[in-house]
Amino acid sequence: MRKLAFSLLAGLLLLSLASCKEEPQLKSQVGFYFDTVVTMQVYTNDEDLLTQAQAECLRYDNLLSKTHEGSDVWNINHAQGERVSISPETREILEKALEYSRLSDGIFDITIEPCVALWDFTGENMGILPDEEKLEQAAARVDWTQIDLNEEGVLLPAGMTIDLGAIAKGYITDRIADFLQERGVKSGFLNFGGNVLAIGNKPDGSEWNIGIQDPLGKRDQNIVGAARVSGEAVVTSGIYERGFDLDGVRYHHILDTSTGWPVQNELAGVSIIAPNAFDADTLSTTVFAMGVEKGMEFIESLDGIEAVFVTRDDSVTWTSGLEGRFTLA
Amino acid sequence: MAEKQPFMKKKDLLIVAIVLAVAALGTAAVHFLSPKQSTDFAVIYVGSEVYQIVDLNEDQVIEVDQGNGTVNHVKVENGAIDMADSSCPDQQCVYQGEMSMENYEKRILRNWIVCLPNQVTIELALAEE
Repeated sequence: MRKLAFSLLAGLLLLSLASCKEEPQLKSQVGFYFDTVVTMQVYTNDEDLLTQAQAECLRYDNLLSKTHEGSDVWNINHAQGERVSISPETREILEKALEYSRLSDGIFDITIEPCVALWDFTGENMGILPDEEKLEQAAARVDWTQIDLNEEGVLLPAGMTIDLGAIAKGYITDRIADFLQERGVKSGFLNFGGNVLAIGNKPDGSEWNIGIQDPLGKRDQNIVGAARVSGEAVVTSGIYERGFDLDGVRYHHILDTSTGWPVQNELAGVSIIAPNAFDADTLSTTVFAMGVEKGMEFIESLDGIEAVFVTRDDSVTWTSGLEGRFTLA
Repeated sequence: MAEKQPFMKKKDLLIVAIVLAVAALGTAAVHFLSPKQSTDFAVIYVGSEVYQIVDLNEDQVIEVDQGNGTVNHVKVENGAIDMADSSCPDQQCVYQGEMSMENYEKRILRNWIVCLPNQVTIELALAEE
């Protein structure tokens, strides 16, 4: 009996000690990188973790920014036909970009940069159309098959340039999530300029409920609905992120890789749900450019990846895997 | 029953009682002494720096003036917070609407309101327990 009494006591003591163990607390931070806003919210007891994660963001920004002199991308775009050595991170992004160019038969193409450079969707020259002849010449230089990537680096023909705007943010979001998870984070929520990534589940174990953006902005809170996700990324591409209206036409930042003009199809936006932000980011642009029918078919052929489509006449459709996970607003 | 040896002796019972009392007190202390929010609040940032912490139970308008004509006004009313106006060109922050503990889970930016051009952000504090 004494033994029982003692084990009971020991158990109680342990229990009361366990209740003293510190639960991870919610910490958050905001920063401005990659020409956008980055918010991070994670459950951790490490006071400095998010400051370190921000330093990582800055490192990636300096590595991948088109405008930062000496970055890998800047070096590639200023090489004038010379081979450029690159970091393993840049290599990983270029490999993924080439993979998606192959998969989409050139609908996704990072050599779109000469066309991108002629448009302004956010700044002082927003609302002014580029010179048609210049845009045509720029579009003629777009050709992903000319990217020559080998062990020593990357070589582009002179006059060709790259833009990682449709892929780099997704890559960085994943790397920052890795950085946080390697340091013990089990639950968190990252939003890198619209690249949303849930780390694990909510602290209480339930799934995250993530709003799917209404690209037309017609509904309450600008969402068409919500999807339950667990450790997944959600990325939306649409005509209202960056763009302007002129004479009844919506000019937006997703450019047709064969003409350099904004993609005009029945879509207002598409949201991709994928196990990582790298694929979600790349796919959102690619699938948007494919349109509803081809895009739906493409996503249904990929494992573990889902999509919600919103057309310009405001009909909402989604892939079969989202049945029961996606709820209309 | 009386003849049998009791399940625990009086002394054992006393020890159990004392340990239980200490454990209960300890749990209560941890529960009540740890920082706990009794009110909802939000944090306004300029860049990555905290500009002001705002009590959502107090209706108010906060001016965030960074000079050179860069000004945002943050409004708190009935427990909800929103960007009332901004000097930025795109006005996205104003369109993001109001945010409260009741609606944040349905918002695209969840518990954030972001003015990208002026680098002003509002975070609804979600600290739990």
